[in-house]
Amino acid sequence: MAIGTYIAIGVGVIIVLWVFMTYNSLVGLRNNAKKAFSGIDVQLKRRSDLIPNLINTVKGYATHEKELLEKVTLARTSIMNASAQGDVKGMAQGENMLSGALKSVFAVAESYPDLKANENFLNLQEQLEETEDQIAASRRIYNENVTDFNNKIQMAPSNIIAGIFGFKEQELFEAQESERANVEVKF
Amino acid sequence: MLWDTVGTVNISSIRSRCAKVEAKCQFLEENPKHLSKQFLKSYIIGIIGTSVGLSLLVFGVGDNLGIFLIIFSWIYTGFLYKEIKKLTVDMIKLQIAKQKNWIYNPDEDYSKWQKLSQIYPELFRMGNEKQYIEDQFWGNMNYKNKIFYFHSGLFSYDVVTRDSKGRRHSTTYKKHFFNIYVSKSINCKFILTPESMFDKIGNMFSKKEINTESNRFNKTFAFTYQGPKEEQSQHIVKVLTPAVQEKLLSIHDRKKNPQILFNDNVISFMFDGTLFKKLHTNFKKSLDLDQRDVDFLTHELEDILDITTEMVQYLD
Repeated sequence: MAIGTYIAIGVGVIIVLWVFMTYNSLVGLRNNAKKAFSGIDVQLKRRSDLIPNLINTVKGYATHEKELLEKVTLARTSIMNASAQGDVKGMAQGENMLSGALKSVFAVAESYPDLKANENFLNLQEQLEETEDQIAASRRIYNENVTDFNNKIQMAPSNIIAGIFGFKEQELFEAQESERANVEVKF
Repeated sequence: MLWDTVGTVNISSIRSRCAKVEAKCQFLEENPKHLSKQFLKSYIIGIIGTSVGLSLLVFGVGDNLGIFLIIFSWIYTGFLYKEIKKLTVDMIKLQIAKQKNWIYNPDEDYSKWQKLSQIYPELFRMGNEKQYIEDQFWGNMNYKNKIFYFHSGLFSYDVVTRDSKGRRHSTTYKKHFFNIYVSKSINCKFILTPESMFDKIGNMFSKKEINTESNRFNKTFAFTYQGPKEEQSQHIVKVLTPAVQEKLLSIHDRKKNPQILFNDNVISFMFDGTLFKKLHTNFKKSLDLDQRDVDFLTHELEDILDITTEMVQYLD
């Protein structure tokens, strides 16, 4: 065989290897982003599980805060629905609503000394605050992973492979500008 | 109550070893100008030695003696300066320990190293000569309404090699560590270390055994553990929550070569280099402890305890 043939075979093998490695890398990054998303889901579910207990505790003391507690329940339901559909934007929107509503609940609790001193309430507050930290961290990790994946899809030469095999950009876990307004609660 | 990683803390024994440093502190309080005079003395010896040596050289009376005097006087100056500096640093650390109600021991402790290397060989079985622990602090700290007991120190060791001509080369390494006692057991033993180039190359050809949610964390740290993967990964993942991953990455960015060992009730953090890079307290100007030195050590401990509290939250 002529030297040219060997060179052509060598180049061909290198190209094939590069295609395999790039494809696998894209799959790995996409799966990491999915894994990070499920990490957010786990933390959101954990927080969701704490909320019914919180509502029951607050109801016993702050009987007039029905509207506020309904907002909390509504936000919780919205997150659960969005999570079931894999709707990232919906989850981000619901998560912001719920965080705002919970802040209001804890602010309202300041006006009810008996509630503030309740051990169950204090315990729930601590757990919810800790879960907020975990959710924030999970969001940042998810967004980092998605950015890595989106960069790989957009940058040359891996964008060629991404285009051929139909890899699509993923959404970041963030609310729209209009949705970032503070949740207003009327008492 | 105090806690030591490998045994009990004998407060009276440590205090008796610190008696010399304590006595120096006492002497300085009574003679505030003494330290400045000592530094001045060391410089004067160097200058006089150099002057005499230069004179001998200039007048051709004794060239070899002149050179010897110049070199010797500055070596002696350097030695004296180093001794005074070490004593000053020990006094500052002792003052910090007193202010925080901790115990401090500046001495080199060879037996402590032997015990630590038996229990934590992954961290302490390093070097081939002159391994010891010094600059030890024992104390407790209230962080987020919980009391944590800690034992910290400086691990020093020499690596001695011989070149092709049989000449001996010795390099001294220093690493500072913080061992924290946690009330809940982690139920496994694993160590996190920065991924080496070999780890990165290996991961290109085979899937990494344990992966967390964060891409960056997986690329930054390598896991080493004992026991079956199915059992160990459960405990490891429980400890490494998203918030913990972020904080460990933050520590990796700020500190050199962080190694974190988890072993039942003890979490051990080890970093390259000494703990205090620069001390602000200057006993030549004033005998008061500079609060920045105290705040620095407190801040370092709080960072470690921040990660520790996050880790133990979900443990049984």
